[in-house]
Amino acid sequence: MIERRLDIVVIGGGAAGLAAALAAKENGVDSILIIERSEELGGVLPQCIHTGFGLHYFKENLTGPEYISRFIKKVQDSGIECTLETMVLNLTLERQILAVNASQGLMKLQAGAVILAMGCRERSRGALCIPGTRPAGIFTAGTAQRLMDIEGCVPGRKVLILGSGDVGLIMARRFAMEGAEVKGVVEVMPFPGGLDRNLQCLRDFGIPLYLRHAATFIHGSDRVEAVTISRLDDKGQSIAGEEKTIECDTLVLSAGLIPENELSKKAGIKLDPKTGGPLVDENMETYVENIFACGNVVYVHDLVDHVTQEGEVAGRNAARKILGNLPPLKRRISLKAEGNIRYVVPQIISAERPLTLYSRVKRPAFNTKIMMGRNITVHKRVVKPAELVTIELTAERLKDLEEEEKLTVNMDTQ
Amino acid sequence: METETREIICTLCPMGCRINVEIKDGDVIKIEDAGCNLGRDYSIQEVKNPVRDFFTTVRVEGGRIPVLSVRSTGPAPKNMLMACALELAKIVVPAPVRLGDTLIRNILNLGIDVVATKDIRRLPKFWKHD
Repeated sequence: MIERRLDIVVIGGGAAGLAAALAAKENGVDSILIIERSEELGGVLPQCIHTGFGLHYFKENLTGPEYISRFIKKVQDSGIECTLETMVLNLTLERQILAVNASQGLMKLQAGAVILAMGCRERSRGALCIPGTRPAGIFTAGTAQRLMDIEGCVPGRKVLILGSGDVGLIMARRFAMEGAEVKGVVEVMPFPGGLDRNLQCLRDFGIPLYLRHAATFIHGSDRVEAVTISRLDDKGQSIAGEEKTIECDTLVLSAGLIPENELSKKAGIKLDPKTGGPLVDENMETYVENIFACGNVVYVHDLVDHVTQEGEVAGRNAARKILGNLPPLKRRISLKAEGNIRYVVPQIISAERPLTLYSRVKRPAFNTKIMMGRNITVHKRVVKPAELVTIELTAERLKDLEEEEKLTVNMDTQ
Repeated sequence: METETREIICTLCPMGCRINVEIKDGDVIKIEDAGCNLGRDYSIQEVKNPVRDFFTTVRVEGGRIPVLSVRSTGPAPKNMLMACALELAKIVVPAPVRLGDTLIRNILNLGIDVVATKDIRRLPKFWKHD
């Protein structure tokens, strides 16, 4: 078995992992290894062929492959070592990593610091508990996207999409552009799950959006033949007599993403039940010293630009830690989300320096105030569940922060 | 000619204003619920000449993967998106391809080119990595 010692091991070679590795290298660490499960670097971005990436980070409107290729090229040019098609099997609190691939077999790595960048995965049919038969033709949106835009086959001709998250809306447009008949998008909530601007994907092709509806039965023996959807009442219960059976050969699921934390759980890293990811401090360090985390493994982001920036924070701080330049936080203030705030990240702040917090809300609200503790209020014109809400903790605002170890972050809707 | 009313979702910022416009003879005669002037301009553009970024895939021969992602160098008129996609369905690109390679110049005389958005090496699909 191969045994190695490395300063920094990055688990995951997507947007977060690449940014973290580059930042670590730029901050003076050379012994870095990126471990990637797939056969290429880049995570999900090589299959996101639409535009809209990089507007914040590069101030350019790029496609997913264009965005990520800039980082892949940088990683290759900088000589950072990457091992592809390699699966991490185990991680310990002492930062021992057990990994395996087909060419080298098992490898045992001892890392000075570990950066978790495993991303997230999609909720599948099993997780959604949709009754019915078990025919072929049920795909998660990401799988359908991979089939179309990497493997080159359109997985259906008559498509119903369940869930109006961004990936679902984008895939509705993608299927329509490939000449498939998109029968509709079904959403449980009374409002769309994705960004409002992505509703254009449906309107441009006249695709109906069924809000407050659920898929209640999948029909078909070999292949999907139809899906029954039901209108829901205010309590989310299906209304008898309000069912509709839609003929289709494919059901695409876009019903949420889950941070992929099996390794973190095995290692015993404390997770936040609201985000599904590790609890992190403002340096993106988890509750375990020298284990950092960034990107969708921490919480599901809407923009890759933010994932990249967070990866840079994690990579820079992991490097500082290895080089002995990362002093412990003087204060550790725990932030607790309440009311309409679903979660806030990072969950631990020091209030020593200005910082941006990211939070997600449960329901849309207009002309609202976010309150941190008793003294800080931040006005927001609009907040929506599909868009991360940023809270800028400027030096000015931090002066007003009370001396408490725990602070609540809440919302006051007027 | 009758006046027509239409709701346009503004895509310029997270507010996502639902702008209501009244159209007569192809001209916008009334704009309501636009949160800002940029939104007003956007709604007029959406009525007069809606444009969209164009992107799709084209078939590749002899590449590591069988399809190449491509985009237009500028936005295309919305009603020409499908025609552009059908143009690209006609071609097969031999690997290798480099990001930025021009595949079709001035597609359908729209004044925009179609370029590759990724590199594809010339390899059989299941070739092992070094």
